[in-house]
Amino acid sequence: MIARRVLLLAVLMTAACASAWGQVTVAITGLPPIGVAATQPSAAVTLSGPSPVATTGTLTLAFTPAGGGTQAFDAKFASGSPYTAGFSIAARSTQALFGTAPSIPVMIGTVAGTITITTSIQSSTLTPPAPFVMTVNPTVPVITSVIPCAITLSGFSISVTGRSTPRNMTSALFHFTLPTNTQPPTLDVTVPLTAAFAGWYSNSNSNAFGSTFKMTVQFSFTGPPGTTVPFVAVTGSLTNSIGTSNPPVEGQSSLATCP
Amino acid sequence: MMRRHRIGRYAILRASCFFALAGAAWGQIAGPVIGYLPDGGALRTMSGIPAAGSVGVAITPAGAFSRIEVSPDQTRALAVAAGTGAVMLYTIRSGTSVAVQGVASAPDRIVFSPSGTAAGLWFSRTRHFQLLHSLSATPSVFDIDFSFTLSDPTSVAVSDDGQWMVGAWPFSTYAMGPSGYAIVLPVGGAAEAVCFFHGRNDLATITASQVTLITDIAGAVAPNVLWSKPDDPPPADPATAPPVQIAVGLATSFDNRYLSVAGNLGALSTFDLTAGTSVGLNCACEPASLYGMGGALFRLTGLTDGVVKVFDASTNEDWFVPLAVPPAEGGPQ
Repeated sequence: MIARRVLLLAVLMTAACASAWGQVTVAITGLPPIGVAATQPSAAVTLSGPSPVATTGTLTLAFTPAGGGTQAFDAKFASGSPYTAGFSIAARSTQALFGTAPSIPVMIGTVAGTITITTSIQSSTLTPPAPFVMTVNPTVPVITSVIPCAITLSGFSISVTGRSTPRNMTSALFHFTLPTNTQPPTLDVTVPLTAAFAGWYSNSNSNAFGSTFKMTVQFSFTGPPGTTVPFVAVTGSLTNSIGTSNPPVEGQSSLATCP
Repeated sequence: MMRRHRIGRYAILRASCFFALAGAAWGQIAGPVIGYLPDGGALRTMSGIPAAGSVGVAITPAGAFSRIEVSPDQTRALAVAAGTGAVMLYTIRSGTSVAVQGVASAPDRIVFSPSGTAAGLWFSRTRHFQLLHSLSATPSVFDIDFSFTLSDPTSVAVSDDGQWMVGAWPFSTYAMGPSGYAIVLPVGGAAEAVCFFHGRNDLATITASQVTLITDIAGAVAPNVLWSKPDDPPPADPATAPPVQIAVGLATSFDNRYLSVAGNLGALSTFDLTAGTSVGLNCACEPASLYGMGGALFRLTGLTDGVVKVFDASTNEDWFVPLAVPPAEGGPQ
């Protein structure tokens, strides 16, 4: 009788434990389904309940550019190995640790595409989650800076730094405010860019930069003797296959070296 | 009438000048450069933008320098020659270096003014400071004897005009200018870090309990306390009290709008001196200092576990910049 009760208790305990373990699910958390270019959200590995085992695992990141091509290395982990991140899960813990940190930053990069993060776990007791998929949508260009520089009596250049997630560009619009008493008071200059940017983005040297770029446009002008500054202000905007950057970015003085 | 006519003609000339301008000649496209990273005796290029950048291979001659520091405008560097200890001025764009004349060899500390127009060298063995009035191969050098301090300074700063230096020791903070006399600055306690503002001889200091702005160091020396630590009650059990953060970096953005402090345990505090507000975050890193990289961008760390941390004071965001993947390992060709 006692033996039967012990056996029944053992069966019940085993069933209970198996049930509890079976309910522990693993998930990648902290990342948005739509990734914003040039951001670095943090990924965490969380468990729905206390882990029944101590184990380790690995997150593996892969990036597929929306525009095809070989630009496969834009998104990265903040770790020594940019496409893998090891973690550990202590027994009875509900949170994986990346070293001592509860999460690891992910560089979204600047190229439209799909980031897929897969999880492997050493212990078969825990089932890895389905791959986490994050989409980086193509967007209008983003201008980081517009810097007029190298102004001489006959010319000047404007340096524009920015990014274009679809990795294309069609044109730039520079809006100049002319000096007082000048007619017209403003002047818009459109610079076609399709061929130039197609050349840049198809060059393998551009791959390491994602979609970021530094574009320098040379302007020449003739004016009255002594004219050294042909405009008092300039703003810049860029257009790609998605649309036009908004709002226009104001030119700034800077200590940056002009190319 | 005549005057109107003249104005009109001038306007026509201007317009025609811009008609010529409308035919803008195409320039060039390249990858942007964030700045340069000292790594031992070498410099590495940090490419891209802060939130999506990478650290490239060394660009300096292998084995040429035992140490190197980059000026905040990222155009030049001061290095120590590996063989002779000579101080070298390295121009990043051209990749050339020349010996800096009139300075002692093998400095223990190299500091730049906020904009990188002047510099200073600290020599621990003699407790001397050499103030370089300009960042050139033949600078005017002001040699300052700090042997009376009996120790290395906690922090040293140089003004952009190269006329002033400030050194912080546990017992006093001194300013030394054209007069050649040391001025004891009115800093309440031991300064952990000091910095000058860009293009000005005003400076900021931080102690364990105060951030102070000091103006007119050549005259009245006017302090203005920007922040004071509240009087917290002592912890019930000192053994379990959280560790005390020590400032390892204090710096201003190039437009002097943001004054940032970096703590050794990762705390970053920024004062917006225009808006009169302050913000903070923790970088989950161990900052070595706030190394200016132009604008409001600062480098916090060296290359640690394949990653460099940078901080943008204007947006209060920190970013990691990883090592670029070598082509041999599948990275971009």
